[in-house]
Amino acid sequence: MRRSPPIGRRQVLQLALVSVLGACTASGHGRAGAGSRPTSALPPPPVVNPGAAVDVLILQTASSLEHYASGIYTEVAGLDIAGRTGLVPLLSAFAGHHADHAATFESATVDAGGRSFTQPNVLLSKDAMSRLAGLQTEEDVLEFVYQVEVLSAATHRRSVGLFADPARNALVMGIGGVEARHMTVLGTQIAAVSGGQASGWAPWPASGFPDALPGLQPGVGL
Amino acid sequence: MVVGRTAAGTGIPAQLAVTSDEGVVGFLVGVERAVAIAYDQAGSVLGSPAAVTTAAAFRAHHMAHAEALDALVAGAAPPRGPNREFLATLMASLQGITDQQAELAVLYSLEEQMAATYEWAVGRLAGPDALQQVAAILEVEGQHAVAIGILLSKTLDELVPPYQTDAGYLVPGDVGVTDLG
Repeated sequence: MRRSPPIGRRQVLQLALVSVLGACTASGHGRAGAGSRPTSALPPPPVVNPGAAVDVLILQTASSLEHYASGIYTEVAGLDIAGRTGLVPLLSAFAGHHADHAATFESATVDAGGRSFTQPNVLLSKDAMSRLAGLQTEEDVLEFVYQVEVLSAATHRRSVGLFADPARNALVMGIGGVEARHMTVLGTQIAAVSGGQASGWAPWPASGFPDALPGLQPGVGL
Repeated sequence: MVVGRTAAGTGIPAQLAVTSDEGVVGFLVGVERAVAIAYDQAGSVLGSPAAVTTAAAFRAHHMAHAEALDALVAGAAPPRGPNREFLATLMASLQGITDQQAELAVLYSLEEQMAATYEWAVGRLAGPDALQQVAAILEVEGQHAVAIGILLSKTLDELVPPYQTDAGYLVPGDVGVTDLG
């Protein structure tokens, strides 16, 4: 069995989180002006159990992603093009899955000692909403939500092994595995609509392994 | 299996847990190789271009999965062959089938079982390399099930449950693997 590198991804994330918390504390959470001196001599509060804090951050980010995905599907299902092409049942079903997933991550966040995150990811939503008006064809719609699933699957997969509590690995892949299934349904439909010409939206990866995409980094867009 | 044991105060799985990863990964290698052989057997019955193309691709995937997993435990043991007991069960399931739909139904159930088995495995591994590889393969096994299910005209609810669970996973002890390390 190959050994882990001396500093793995989980430790890097923990160190980054500790640095952020420390920086926030040292700067008075950003309230101090440039060049101002600290107004308190109190030492920064100790970071208690950074592993649990990492778990919370990952789960909150996952919640934000699932709320985003559910919202996108709901918005797209309401477009005329979705009604005209008979996509509404499919889009509604997947919206429901993502809503369920968001609720699961919210609950897991509370179990991890954090506050549940109940809003769509800000960063992703800003970009997506500007693209909705451009969806004119069935293929446009399917490709758009396929991209949502690619990001979601990659994000959940990349979380595996980062958790301090290993039980959360199965939790996150119980959801990531479903996002991959969504991709297969959508990719198959895209191929049918495009006459099999849309090679960028594969139902399954030709290599037998998903592309090594980074996914959404923990904490981004919260 | 030691899950949750950590090197003192670090939250990092101790080396002891990594040892048991070898057993789980080795089990998966044997299963993947058996599944690839089953696809060889199934290929002779499949007739439609879609089914033939899909089965050929998935057979190659299972071989690639076995090799990738074997690489994780390289040095710990010689390359593993197919799990003989599981292979015998699979061959018995496929024997005598002359109808493509019946053959696809067996492969569909097999892929669903593989996805469940990987979900089970993710819950038992500790090392990040093994976890990442197994998580990646889990996704693809579920995609195999969906692709074959589409050929069988399964409903959307059948193809995509709200959650991937380990229900129906291949129990190592049922195929002769009684020691996972």
